[in-house]
Amino acid sequence: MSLTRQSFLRLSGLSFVAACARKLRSAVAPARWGMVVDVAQCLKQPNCTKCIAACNQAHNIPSIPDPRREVRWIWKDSFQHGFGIEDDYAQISAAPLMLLCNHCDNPPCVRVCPTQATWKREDGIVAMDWHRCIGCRYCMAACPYGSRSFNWMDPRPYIRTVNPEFPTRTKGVVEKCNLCSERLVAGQPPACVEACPEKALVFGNLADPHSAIRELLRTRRAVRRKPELGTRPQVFYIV
Amino acid sequence: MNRLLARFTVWRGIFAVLMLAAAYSTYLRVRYGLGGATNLNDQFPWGLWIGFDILCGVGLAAGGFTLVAVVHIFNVERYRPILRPAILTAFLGYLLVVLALLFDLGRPDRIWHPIVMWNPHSVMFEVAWCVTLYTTVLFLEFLPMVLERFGLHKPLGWLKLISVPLMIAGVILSTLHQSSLGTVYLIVPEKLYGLWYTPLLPVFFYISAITVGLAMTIFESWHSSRAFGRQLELPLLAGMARVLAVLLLVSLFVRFLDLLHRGALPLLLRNRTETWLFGLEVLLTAVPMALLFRAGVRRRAAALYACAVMVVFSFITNRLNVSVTGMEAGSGTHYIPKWTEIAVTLAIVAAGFAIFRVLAQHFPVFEAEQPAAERVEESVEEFALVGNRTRTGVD
Repeated sequence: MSLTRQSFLRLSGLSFVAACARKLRSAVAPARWGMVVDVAQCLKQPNCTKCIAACNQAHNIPSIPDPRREVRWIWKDSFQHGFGIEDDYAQISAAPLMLLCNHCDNPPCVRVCPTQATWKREDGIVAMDWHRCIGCRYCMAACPYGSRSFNWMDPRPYIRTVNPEFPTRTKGVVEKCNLCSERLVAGQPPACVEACPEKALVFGNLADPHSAIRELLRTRRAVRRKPELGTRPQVFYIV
Repeated sequence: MNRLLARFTVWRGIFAVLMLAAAYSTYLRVRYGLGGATNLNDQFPWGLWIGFDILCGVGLAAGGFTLVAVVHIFNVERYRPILRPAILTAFLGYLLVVLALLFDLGRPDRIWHPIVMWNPHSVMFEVAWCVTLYTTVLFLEFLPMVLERFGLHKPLGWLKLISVPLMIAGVILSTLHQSSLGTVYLIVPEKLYGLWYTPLLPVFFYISAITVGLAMTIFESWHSSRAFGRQLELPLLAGMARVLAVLLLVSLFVRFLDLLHRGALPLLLRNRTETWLFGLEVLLTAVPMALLFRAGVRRRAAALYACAVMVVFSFITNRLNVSVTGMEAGSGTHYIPKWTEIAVTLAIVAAGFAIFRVLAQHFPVFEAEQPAAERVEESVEEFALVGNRTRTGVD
C-alpha cells in the first residue's frame, strides 16, 4: 500500500488538529483539589469534633464503639503519629491534629489495588468504587498515613441516621475520605470544611494560582505528612 | 500392629478436632466478618493467613516447578520418579492457597475481580493472574495421573501434545509470582524493619522458593516412603541435597552482602526481638547448609530429613518475619493471631496432608515398585551406608 498525496495531507491535518485539541485541553486544565489545615486555628476549640460528626453524617460512617474496628475518614491524632516525628520546640506537637486522606499526587494505594477499585481522578481526588473492592487490604498496607479503614464487621447496624443520598457499605471492603466529591458536583464545599466553626479547614483549587488556598500556601509556612516518601500529599498543615 | 492402630486413632482424633475448630471458625468468619475471626486491625491489616497460608503456602509448593524445571528443562531424567509427587504437592498447595485466600479476602465472592478488572500497575494483580494460571497449569500436569487411573488414553494423548509448552509456562509463571510475592512488600519501606526491607526482596523470595522447593521434595519423599512402605530414592535426594547446600550458601551470602551494602549490619547489634528472629533465620539456614556439604550426612536418610525440616522452618521464619513480625514495630501495634486464625491455618495444613495421602493411595502418583533384583542391590547399598553411619558416628 502506498501513501497518496491526498491521504498524506489528510493524515497530517488530522494529527495537527489532534495536537491542538490536546494543548487546548491542558489549557483549560481541571481543578486540582486540596486542603489546608490551620492547626492553631483548629486548636482554638480543643474538644470540638464537629467536622468528624458532619463527615460521619454525610457518608453513613458507622459509630463502632470498639476502637480496633472503627471506621474513620477524618480523625484526631497526635502530631507525633501524624508526622512520625517529635518536635520539642513547637507547641503544636503536644496537641492532637485533624488527619484525613492526603489525596496524594502519587498515591501508593492506587498503584497497588489489583482491581482499580481505588483510582486518582483528573481533579486529584483519590476515589473508591466499593463494588470493585475485593477486600485484599493491600492499599491499607501500602498507605503510609493510616488513611484507610476496613469494614471488619457489618457497618449498617452502627449507622446513627442513614443519609439516603449516599451509599452504605458492606462488611469486607475498604473505605476512606472521598473529599466529598458528591458535594463538589453540587457546588458545595466538603462537609468537614463547612462544619468547622473556626474555619480551620480551607478547601480549594491548587491548580488555580489565584485561589484562596494558593494565597494561604504562599503567605504561610505549611508542611505535609512524610514528604520523604515521595507521595506528594495535597493536604497541607500550617503549624 | 496395635501400637500402629493407636497412633492412627490419635492422629485421626487430632484431625477431627482441628476440622471441627476450623468449621466453627469458618462460621465466625462468614457470620461476623474478619473482625469476628481475626485479631487484625487497620494498622495491622495482614496477619497469619497472609503470612503463613499464602506466603508460605505458595513457597512450600515450589517443589513442583523446581522439579519440572530439573526434569523437563534441564533434562535430568533420573529425577523423574519424584516428579509426580512434587507436582501433586504443588497442585494441592495452590488449591489450599486459594482456599485460604477465600478466608482472608474481605469479599471472597469477588475473588474473580482481578481477572476482569485490570490494574496492570499492581503487583497483586500480577500475583492474582499468575496464581490463577499456574493453578490451571498444575491441574493439567496432575490430570494425567487421573486419566491413567481410569485408562482414558485418548485425552492422555492430547495432554501429551501440549505438555512441553505447559511445563515451560509453569516454570515461567512460578518464577514470576514467587518473586512478585517479595515485590508486594516493596511498597512498605517505612513499615518493614530494616533487616528485611530491601529492594532485593523479589530476588531473595525467588532464591528461597527454590531452596524450600528442594527441601520440600526431600521432606515429602521421606514421609511417603514411610507412609506407603516404599523405598526411599536416597541417591536422588542426596544429589538434590548437594544443590540445596550450594543454594543455601548463595542465599546467605547475598543476604549479608545486601545488609552490608544497605548499611544495615549495625541493626544486628541491637538487642531487639527482630535481631533474634533474624538470627534464628540465619541459624536455620546455616546449620543445614554446613551439614549438607558433608557427603556422609547426605547419604543418611534421617539426617537428610532433619536438614530438609530445618530449611522448611527457616523459610517459614523468613516469610513470617517479612509479613508479620517485621511489620509490628512499624505499625505501632502488637499482633497475636486469634485462635480462629490458628485453627483455620492448622486445618488447611492437615487437609493438605490428608488429601495427599488419599490421592497417593488411589492414583498412580509414585512409580511402580522396582523389580526385586534391583531392590536387593539397593538394600546391600543401604547396608553399606549403615556401616558408614556408624563410622561417622565414631568420628
